[in-house]
Amino acid sequence: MEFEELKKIWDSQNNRHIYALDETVLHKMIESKKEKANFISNTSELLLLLVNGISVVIYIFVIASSARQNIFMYVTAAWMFTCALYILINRMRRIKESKHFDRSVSGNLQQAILFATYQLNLSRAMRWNILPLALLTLLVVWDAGKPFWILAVLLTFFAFAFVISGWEHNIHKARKKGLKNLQQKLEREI
Amino acid sequence: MTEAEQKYIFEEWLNLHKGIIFKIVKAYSANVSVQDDLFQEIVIQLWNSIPSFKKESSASTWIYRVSLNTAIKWANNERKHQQSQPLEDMQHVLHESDIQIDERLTWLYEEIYRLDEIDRSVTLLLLDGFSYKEMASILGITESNVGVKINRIKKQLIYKSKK
Repeated sequence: MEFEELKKIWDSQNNRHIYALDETVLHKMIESKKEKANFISNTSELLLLLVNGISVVIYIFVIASSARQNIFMYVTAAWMFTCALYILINRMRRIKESKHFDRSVSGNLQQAILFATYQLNLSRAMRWNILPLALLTLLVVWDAGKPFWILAVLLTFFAFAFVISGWEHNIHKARKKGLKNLQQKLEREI
Repeated sequence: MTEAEQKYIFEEWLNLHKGIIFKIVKAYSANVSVQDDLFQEIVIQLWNSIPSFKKESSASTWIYRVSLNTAIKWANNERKHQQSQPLEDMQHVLHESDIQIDERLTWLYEEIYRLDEIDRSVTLLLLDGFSYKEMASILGITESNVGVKINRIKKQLIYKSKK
């Protein structure tokens, strides 16, 4: 077949659609997906913000109500506040960027790669952030003279969180790699 | 823009240009449940894009642009979309139409699906009669790169059709 013939076959579907739409289901779906999409894209950032924010509040409350002041608590609170601020600023930038729809496929892929890089950096930063956080928390608990088993439980918890965040990091890594492959395919002149 | 205006534009787009979305959905997904999923993703993106539409291009070009961007990224994560819910339990937006589909058209869709995500988009734009300039603008690559890709895809499709 010549290309013109292929084009005629293709055009034959223009006046009769290959699918039928169920409009009632469509409208119901749009309403629920609008909410779900926002929820999914926000969840990990909001969780991180929430965890860091609540921790800062708890630390400030403990510092204010404790008779015995502990330098590690101040450092931990300041550290977590910085993390929350970092997540918040990046989140605002991401939301602003996601409102562009006028991009070409190439521009859209570049933006998706930028976002994947942001998520990759965030997951890496949050993963390694577990180490100083674990150290500071253990120092706080140790300095307060708590029993050894509490230290052991905390240590296990942080080790578990470190492993889990490694899995999450690998998911972002694979996604970024896939997007970069797509961009290469698009730009390759063959 | 009010929600009512947005809804009016959305319904008009869907009424006039749903064929574009159907073609992209069929070219980018192999079975009914995933086609439904991709269709839903595209219409959500189109809905969200309406306030950004400044009429600098035609509505059909805009719809192509948003739909292709969505489909390409979606296809990149296709394994993630494998359906865990039984098909009969799901409410579908899309249903196979009753019309008799030319088997050569089915063959053409199968061949397009065998191409990579980028070549699929070039093929769809080509078959729908976009100029090199429009394609270059939608894809964000040079016209000469579009030309090179089209040349290769055309040769490939013609060769396979003769087999």
